[in-house]
Amino acid sequence: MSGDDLTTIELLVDWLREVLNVWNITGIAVVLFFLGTPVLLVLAAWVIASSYFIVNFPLTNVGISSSDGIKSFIFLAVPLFVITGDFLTEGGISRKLIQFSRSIVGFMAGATAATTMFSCGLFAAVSGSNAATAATMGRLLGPEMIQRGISPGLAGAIVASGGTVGVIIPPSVIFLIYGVTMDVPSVDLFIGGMIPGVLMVIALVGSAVVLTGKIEPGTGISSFSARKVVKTGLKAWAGFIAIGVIFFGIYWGYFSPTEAAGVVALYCFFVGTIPILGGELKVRQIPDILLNSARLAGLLVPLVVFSIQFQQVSSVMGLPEAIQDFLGELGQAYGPTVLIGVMMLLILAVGAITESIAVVLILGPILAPVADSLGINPIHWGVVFVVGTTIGFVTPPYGLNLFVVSGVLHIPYDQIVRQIFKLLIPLMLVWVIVTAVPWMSLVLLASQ
Amino acid sequence: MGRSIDALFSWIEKAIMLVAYLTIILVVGLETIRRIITGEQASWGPEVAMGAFVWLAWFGMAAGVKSRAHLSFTTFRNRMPYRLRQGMEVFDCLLWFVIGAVVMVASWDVVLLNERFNQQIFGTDVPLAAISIAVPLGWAFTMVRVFQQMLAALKGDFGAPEITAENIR
Repeated sequence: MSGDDLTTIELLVDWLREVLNVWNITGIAVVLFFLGTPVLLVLAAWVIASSYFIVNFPLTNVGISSSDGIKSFIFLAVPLFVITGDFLTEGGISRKLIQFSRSIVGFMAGATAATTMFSCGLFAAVSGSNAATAATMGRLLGPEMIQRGISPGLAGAIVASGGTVGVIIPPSVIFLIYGVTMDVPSVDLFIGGMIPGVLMVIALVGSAVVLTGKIEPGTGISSFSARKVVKTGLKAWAGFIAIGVIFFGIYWGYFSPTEAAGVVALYCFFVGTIPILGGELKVRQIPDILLNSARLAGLLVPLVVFSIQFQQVSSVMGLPEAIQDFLGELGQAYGPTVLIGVMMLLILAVGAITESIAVVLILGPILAPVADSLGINPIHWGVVFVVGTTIGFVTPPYGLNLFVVSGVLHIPYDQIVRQIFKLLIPLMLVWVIVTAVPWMSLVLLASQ
Repeated sequence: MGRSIDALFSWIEKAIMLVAYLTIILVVGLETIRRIITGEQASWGPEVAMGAFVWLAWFGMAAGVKSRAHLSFTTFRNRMPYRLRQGMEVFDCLLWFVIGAVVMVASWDVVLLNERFNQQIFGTDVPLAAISIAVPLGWAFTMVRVFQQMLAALKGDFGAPEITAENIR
C-alpha cells in the first residue's frame, strides 16, 4: 500500500470521526435493520463503529469477547436443551405427551386447540425454547386443527401463542441468559417462572376453548375418562421422567441447569433410540438432528457475543445511565405504577421488533437497576421481564414465533397476524397479574 | 471446481459442528452422571465442553450464512425493486467482509497472546489457543460463505431466507 493510500485512509477515518456520533450511528443501524440487513450485522456494525469512532474502545475487545463471552458453563445449557427437545420429538415422546394432554382436555369444547395449548405446557417442561415449542407443536397439531375447521390463521396464532410458555415453564433458555447477564441465579428464575407459566397455560387453554369451542363442540365431562388419563400417562412415561429429572434435579439441587440438560439430553437420546422402550429415533437420523440444532447455536451465540459488547460500549458512553435517569424522573413525576407500566411497554415494544435474547441483553441491564430502585425483588422483575419478552415473541411486526409458525405450517404471515391479537389479550392479562402479584414468582422460592 | 470446494467446506463445517456438539453432550452428560455415582468429576470437563461450544457457535454461524438463516426483518427487503434489492444484498456482503476482517484480526491477536503466555486449557496440557483459534477460523469460513452469497446476489439469486422448524427454534 502506498503512502498516498495510507493518507487517504487516515483522512477518511478522521473525517468519519468528525461526522459520526452515537445518534447517526444508531440511526443508520435502525435504517439497516428495517431494510433487511441481518440483526447480527447491524449489532456488530454498531459495536465496531461506536468502539472505534466514538469511545476509542480497543477493538481487541471484539476478539476477546468472541471466545470468552461464550465460555460460560450456564450458557452451555442452551444447545443441550435444544437438542433434548429434538430427541424428544424425533424419538416419538412428544407425540405420547400430546396423547396424554388430549386425554385430559379432550372433552372440552375446542378440544384440539386446548390440547395444543396443554401440550405446549408439557413440552415446555423439557425444552427451554419458545420457538422450539411452537415449531414442534405446530408440526404435530397444526394440520389437525386446520382439518377440524379452524381457520389457518387462527390455528397458526394458537400454536404461536402456545409456544410462549416455552421459556416461562422451566427450563428456559431466556431465564438462563437473563441470569447470566444480570447476575441473578438462573435456578431461582426457573422456580419463579413455575406458577406464572402454569397460569399462562390455563389462560391459553381457556382462550382456545372460547375461540374454537363453536367450531369443535365439546363432548362433555361425561366423556372424560380417568382410566384413559392413566393409560396415556403410562405410555408417556419417558417424557415424565425427563420432566422429573429436570424439575426435581434442579429444584432439590442435585444438578445445575446445564448438568440437568446434559443428563436429560443423553437420557432422551437413549430412550428415543431403543425400540423396546418405544423409541422411534433411528441412529442414522442423529447427525442431521445435531446439525439442525447446531445451526441454531450459530444464529444465537454470535448475537449474544455482540450484545455483550453492545452493553460494554453503551456503558462506556453512559447510555444506560441516561435512560435510567429519564425513567427515574418519570417515576418521580408520575409515580412507580406509571414507571413500571412504561418499562413494560418498552419491553413489549422492543420485543415486538427484535429477538428475545437481544431484548434481554440490551434492555435487561438498563431496566433492572430501575426496578431495583423501586424495591422490586430481582427474581420477580426477572420473571416479569421474561414474560414480557415472550409476549413480544408473538407481537407483530417482528414476533419471531409468528414467522416460525408461518414457515412450519405454510400459512401466510399476515393471516396469523390478523388472529394473534385475540390471543395477546389473555397473555397481557396474565402479564399484568404476574407483575402486580409478586407472590406468584416468589412463593416457591420462599418454601425452598 | 467451485462445487468441489463448496462440498469440502460443507464437509469440514459439518464435521466440526458434529464433533463439537457430541463433545458437549457427552462431556456434560457423562461427567454429571459420573459425579452422581462416584462423587468424582474431571476438572477439565467444563472447560473442554465450553471450548467445544466456541467451535460449535462460530462454525454454526458460517453454516447459517450458507443457508441464509440469520435473523433479519425481511418485510421491506422482499418487496424492494430488483436493482435496489440486489444492491442491498451486495451491501450486506461488504458489511460482512468489513466486520469479518475486524473480528479475525482482533481474535487472531488473542490466539497469539494465548500462545505467547503458553496458556493451557484448565486441567490439560492442551494449549488454550486450540479453543481461541475457533473464532478466526469460524469467521474465515463465514467469509467464504459470504463471498458465495455475493456472487449469487450479483447473478440475481437472493434465495429468500428460510424460516422453518429446522433453522429457527
